[in-house]
Formats: sequence, structure tokens, C-alpha cells
Amino acid sequence: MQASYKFTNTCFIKIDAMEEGYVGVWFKGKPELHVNPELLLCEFCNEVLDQQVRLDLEKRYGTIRDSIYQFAFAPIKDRIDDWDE
Amino acid sequence: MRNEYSILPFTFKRLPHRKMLMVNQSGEFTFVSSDDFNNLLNHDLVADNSTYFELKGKHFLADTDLDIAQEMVATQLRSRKSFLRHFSSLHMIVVTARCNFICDYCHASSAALEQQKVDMNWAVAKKTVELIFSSPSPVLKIEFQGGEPLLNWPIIKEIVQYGIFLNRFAKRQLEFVICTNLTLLTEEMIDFIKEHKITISTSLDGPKLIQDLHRKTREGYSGYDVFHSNLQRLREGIGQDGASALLTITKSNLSRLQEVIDHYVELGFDGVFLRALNPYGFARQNMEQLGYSVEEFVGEYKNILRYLIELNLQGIPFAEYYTTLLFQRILTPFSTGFVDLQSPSGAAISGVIYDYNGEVYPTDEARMLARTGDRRFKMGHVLKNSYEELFAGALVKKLVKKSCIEVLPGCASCVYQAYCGVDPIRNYVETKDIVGHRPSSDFCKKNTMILDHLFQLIDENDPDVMDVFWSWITRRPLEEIRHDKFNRNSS
Ligand code: SF4
Repeated sequence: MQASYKFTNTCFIKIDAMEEGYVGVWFKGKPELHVNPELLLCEFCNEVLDQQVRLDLEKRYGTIRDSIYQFAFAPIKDRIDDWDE
Repeated sequence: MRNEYSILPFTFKRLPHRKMLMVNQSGEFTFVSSDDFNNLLNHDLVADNSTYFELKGKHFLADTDLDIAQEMVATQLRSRKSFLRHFSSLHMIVVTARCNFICDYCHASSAALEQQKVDMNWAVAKKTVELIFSSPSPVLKIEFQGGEPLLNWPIIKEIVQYGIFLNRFAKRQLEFVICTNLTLLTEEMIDFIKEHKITISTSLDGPKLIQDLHRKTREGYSGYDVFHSNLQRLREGIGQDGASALLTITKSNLSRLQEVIDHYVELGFDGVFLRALNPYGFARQNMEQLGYSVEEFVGEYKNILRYLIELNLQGIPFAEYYTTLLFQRILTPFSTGFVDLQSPSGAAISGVIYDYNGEVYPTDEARMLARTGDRRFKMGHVLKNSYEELFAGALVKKLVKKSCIEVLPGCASCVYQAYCGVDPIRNYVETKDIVGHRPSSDFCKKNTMILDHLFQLIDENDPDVMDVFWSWITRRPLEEIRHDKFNRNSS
């Protein structure tokens, strides 16, 4: 889904569940935009890879990001308590 | 064997020549080869490798010290976002909607001179000042806007004097700015401006022919001639630094920016903000005549940046403020709130605008929408609503909630997230949705292209170019920057 979002300016996109473990993504170039299908496919594949990297990192280390935000925006008092512990 | 380290959160972008740009949550960046990037992800990066130390030092990975690394990033993030701590400091007051000019791109879509009912009255002005002092911010900047604010000079004087009176007890850092075309400036005004240390922001699009092309007076005389002589008179009164100028870039001066900059230098200005035309008000209706594509704008931006670097290297100090802002975010850990480019958006929580009739809006663009009949961004009215109702109401909460770049579609995984910002009102104007649509957004395209260029310059690391940028960031003479560098290198 995230990888497709990038292409919503130039294409109409449909995403459907296929057989187990597969999804199908259909692209239809928007009129007058002269989308190059081969280039689109290459760019989409790269984007899928990059989004997969982000998803994997999020799964493995997402909690680190949450705790950074929690710590950054905690009231000063809570942070001092944390340090004291 | 997998190497034991944790990967801290970051965003990334693929660059040409198998290079990657990585930026972490506190805005620290690094360039790595795609091989090293893959090694990092696969836990194949070994601890004796210089990339490993670079990534560890800049908090992209942590081994034995995960807790400390997390705290460091959190502390940096906290200081980067510290502009949020004090709430609204910029308070714009539209003291009149009348204007003696009728500019082609004016998004304030001004009213005619005789329409005095569009002037702010004292009841509204007094309540507005009291509301401003309800803001917790230690810095209060009151900016007078219009129309042409000097057309309602008596109310400007009253607001300044009442503000100073209230500040005897409130003890804030109180600043005043008048945004004016300067053509109505009198000696009495200059004396008052000097006495109360008011700064002036004016408009300059270039030499006379360019300035008069789209900035037309209602009475048909050359606005430039009066502007020019009044600028000299003003500076004699308040000094050279008392006035800055805003440049509006249209199709007419986009390809003549070098001439425009030369004119700025000739008139003694030491910087310019290269702003692309926004799609509001008259500018929107006249896009055909005034507008240009993002590609055209960024192309000229790059040319002019090159020209400005040359000027600085020739000993003429002159900065471009948008580039300076972005470099401050990229190269320093300091907080740089900027109403038009921050996350959450600065609308209402950093800056707010009070219309002549007492209506309150989060941005000038929201006020313009209301002029065209769409009042969805009206926060309330100074005579009818309390400070809490205005600033902690459902509208402001929604604007904040929906303008956090970290979770917006497209921005959430963008490598430039730490340096960019959100403009929910513009998103609404373009897509009828305050969340917006990044793939079709000109705002996004422009920032992406500019940041791509700035990172390319950082990567090239030309010492002369970087010295110029550091002189802009630190507001110090180029010579001093070079002298310090020389001393550092030789010690
Ligand atoms: S607006 Fe565009 S450039 Fe800015 S963070 Fe979002 S996706 Fe990136």
C-alpha cells in the first residue's frame, strides 16, 4: 500500500488480495500523463523494496522509536525521576 | 555470525552512484555506500570499520550503549522541537483591509481607500492586545499587516502604546513589526517608529520596471519612486538595519533574479528570501499571467544560489534566508521554528492572525479563504471568545493533530522529514483535505528538489561554498569563519 501511494499522482491503482500470501496491484495511467509502463514497473519494484526495509526495521526496532519520542516529550520531572532510578 | 548491535530509527534515500543518504530522528545525517547500507541492515557491519564508528557516533546504531544512545537522540529531538514550548509568539494584526496599491498577486485582495469600515476599531484592537498578552510565550512579536497598515496609523500607535503599557507588568520580550509598502510614510511616523524601535518589513520585487509591473498604485503613479525615496528617509531615521524587504517572485522576475539581487545589494539589503508564489487570492486567479512550474522555480533557485555564493566570495555578504533556514536544520542541532515550515504546523500554535473585524485565523491564508466564503478555519472572535476557546478549541487541536509530519502519508518515510514542515491550510486549498496528497503536492516537490540540491552541495563539500553557508547560518563575516577554520586546522 505504502509503495503504491507514491504513484497515485500518475496512475489509478487497485490493490486486491490474491491467493494466500499474494496481493495484486493494478496500475492504469491517468489520461494525458503518458506513463511509461516499463519505467513505472521498475520504480514500483524499487519502492516496494525500500518500503519493505522500512517495515522490517519498524518491526524489529519500532519500540526504540516509541521510547525516544516518549522520552523526548516527557515532562522534565519524569525525566529526572527516570535518571534517578 | 550476526554482529550484535541495535539499529536506531532513521529514514533513507537512494542517491546516484550507489550511495545512500540516511537521516536519524534528531536530524543527524550521513552518506554511506549501498554496500555498507546493506551490511548495516544484515548485521554484517563489523566494529573495526570506519562506517561503523560513523554510524555509531551519529546514533544510527548502538551496541553496548543502547539506553544512552536513545537518551541522546531524545534529548536532541527535544531541543529541536523546543520551539513548541512557548506557544504562539507571532501575532499578526490586520489593522485595515484597505490598500493604496492593487497588486496583481496580492493575496490579501485589498479593499478600496474609501472603505473605512474595513479598519480595525479600538474596541477590537484593545481586546486583541489583551489576548496577545494571554499567550504564555516569553517573546511576543506583534506584526501589523493590511491592506496597507499605515492607512490606519492611529490604531497602530494605540496598539503599540497599550502593548508597552501591559508589558510593564507582563515583562515579555515585546517586538513590533510593520509590513508596509512605505509609500505613505510621514516624518511623524518615522519618529514614532524610531522611538519604539519598531522594525519595518517592506516589499521589493526588483528595479523600478519590475517593481511597478505588478505592484500598481490605485492612483496610477509609480510606487517605486515613492518607495525608494521613503526608504532613504526611513533609514536616515532608524538606521540601515531597521528595514528588510520581501521579494515576491512572479513569471516576470523569475528569470531576472540576478538583476533583482543586484538591486537589493545596491539598496543596501543584506539578504533575500526566495519565496515561490503561493496559490492564494489574486495570485490564484492570475496564475496564468504570474505563475511558473516548480521545476522552473527550482532551476532559477539553483542558478541564483550559485550567483550568491560568488557574490559572497567576492566580499559582498548577502544571504538567502530559506537556504539558511534549511542549513540551520541540517547542520546544527538548534531549534528553528518557522511558521510556514514546521511540524506540527505553526498555524495558530506559533503564529496567529487577527483580522480587522476581530475574527481570528491560524494563518493569513486561512483568513483569505474566509474572504472567499470558506470560513472553516475561523478560530473565533476576539470580542466573543476567551483565549482558551480560541487556542485550545477543536479547530486548533485538529490542525496540530493532522500536521505532525512524522505520521503523514508520504512524509512518514521521507528522508527530509526532520527538515521539512507541514502547511495544512495549503493542503486544504490544493486538495480539500488538510492532510493533503504528497505525490501531487507542489509544496512537497519544491522542498524535495531544494533539499536534494542542498545535500548534493554538502556531499560535494567544496570548502568555499560551505564557508559561505556557515557564514549565513552563524551570521558572521566570511573572513571570520575562514579565520576560525584556519586556527582549528593549524592547532
Ligand atoms: S512534504 Fe515532501 S519533502 Fe517534505 S517531508 Fe513530506 S514528503 Fe518529504
